[in-house]
Amino acid sequence: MPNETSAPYTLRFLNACRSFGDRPALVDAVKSYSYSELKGIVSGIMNLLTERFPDETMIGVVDQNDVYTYASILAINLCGKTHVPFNIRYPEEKLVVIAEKASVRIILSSYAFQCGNLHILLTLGITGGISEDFVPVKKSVNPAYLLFTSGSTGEPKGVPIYNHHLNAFFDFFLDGGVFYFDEKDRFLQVYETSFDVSVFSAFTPLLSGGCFYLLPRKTFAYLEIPKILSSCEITVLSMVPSMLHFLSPYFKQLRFEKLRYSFFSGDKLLNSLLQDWSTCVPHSVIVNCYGPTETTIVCSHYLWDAQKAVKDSFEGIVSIGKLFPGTNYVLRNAKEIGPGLLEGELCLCGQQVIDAYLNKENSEKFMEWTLDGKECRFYCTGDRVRVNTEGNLLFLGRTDHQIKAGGYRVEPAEIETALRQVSGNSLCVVMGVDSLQGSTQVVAFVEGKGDETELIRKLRKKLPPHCIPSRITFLDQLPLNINGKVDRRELCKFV
Amino acid sequence: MTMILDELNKVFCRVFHTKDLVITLHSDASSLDGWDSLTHVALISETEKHFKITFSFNEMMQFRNVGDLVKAIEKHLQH
Repeated sequence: MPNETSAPYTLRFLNACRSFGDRPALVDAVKSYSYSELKGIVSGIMNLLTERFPDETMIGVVDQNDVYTYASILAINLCGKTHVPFNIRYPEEKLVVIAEKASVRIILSSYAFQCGNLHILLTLGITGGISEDFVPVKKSVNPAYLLFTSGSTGEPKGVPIYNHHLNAFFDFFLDGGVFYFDEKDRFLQVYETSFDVSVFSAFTPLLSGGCFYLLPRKTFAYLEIPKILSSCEITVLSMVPSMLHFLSPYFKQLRFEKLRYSFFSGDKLLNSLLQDWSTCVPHSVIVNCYGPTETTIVCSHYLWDAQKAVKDSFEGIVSIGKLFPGTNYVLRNAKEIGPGLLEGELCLCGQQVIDAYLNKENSEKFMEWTLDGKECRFYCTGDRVRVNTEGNLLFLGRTDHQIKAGGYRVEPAEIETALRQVSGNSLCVVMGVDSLQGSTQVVAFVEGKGDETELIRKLRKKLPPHCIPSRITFLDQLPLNINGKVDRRELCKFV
Repeated sequence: MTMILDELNKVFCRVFHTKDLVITLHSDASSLDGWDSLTHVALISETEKHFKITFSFNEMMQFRNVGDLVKAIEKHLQH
């Protein structure tokens, strides 16, 4: 168990409440909430948790994209408990598995919600509980949050992020001397809370006196981004590259003078796309970040520069830059591990990197290695990188078949397992293919015959939306290579 | 309008990878499975190519159902 100390990021929030009480903290679809109002709701939820459920440590929060969602997360962390995000777009079957694996019995939600036999606590309307002088739990051995990512075994795996991981992350962003945020900043929060970059978009402003706007969850939500950027004079924006692809046909009609920072993460980013985007955001610093969930949101950054970017790109993909201080790496290939390698699988260790998954699952993803005379535990990312002469990391591809779709990590094995169950066919293959729009789409191949619409309907009951194939192709026989394995290159011809 | 709707139906079938889809002026994202932000881009892009027109970003913001799309196509074709 990690040695937990204080929780400065929660203290930073309380300090912001003291310094900026009347200033806006959060703007949802209903209204703007000041720091004092938000703190009132937080304290009310803390009251509920400490009085009625003092012994429950794992608390689910249904993401309803409102002030109560974020107040619940803050209250949970201030009580020293663990936030487990519940995404209402996920099928109930999936949420029940998550609840069981995480030992969640209590779920906070601002609106009616049902999930198995779980106890739902309604938070809508809660306010003013514990006195204004409440203090956070200083020593908590519980993770701050537990996220579930797609698992290569077909089951989601839990990633526990502790306070010390988050503290290191915010220390870099708030005190690292690279970025500067203050009470005048307005962030746009476009992510669901089950996607960890939401922690950056929501909590960076709340720890520095700024505020964040929630992107309405309409069907074509991405279309709202330019509208809100302009009307709310957003200064800090974080997006996954697929959102940029989405907006790219309209770049010539878009211009955001007020944007100071434009962050990207979650997938490979094309330099050509950034060149065009840079004309829409003439006063913005553009930053490409990288980091698997296991390394706490992101752990490297590249400050994009039109002049240098081409040299720092690999096959047109923008560099993921250098690691944050406190995070280290070694590269490994099939034959060796070591600092001498300039190309290989990126393995990470340090202040932001987890030691193990929930219940110590998938331990093969971690390795011990001695770095600078000290034994360290590394997380092996599966990402292949090259180090260029400037010391920047260039993303080359994956060592496995993992897919990134809309920023979400998708393990083909998870979908293949579900597909086998619903189709009754044993031979199924799932792949990621680049669409004409520049984003990655999940496609599936099944040996035999079947009804695509019916299979997709059944998959929707088992898998999160980002794991649903955009197309299922039936083939009499899946092509095999000389080793008798499914020939994925050959399959690409059928897309 | 019927002719435009018939032509648009072909575009929808192409984007949604199906031959059986029948759209109406009232079809929208809630009535068509898989009509999300990303399919929306593909749909608009294919519609523009098919009818040889270009929508502005503001126009695209107004599309709530197939009827809105048909009206916008009609307006472009008249000019």
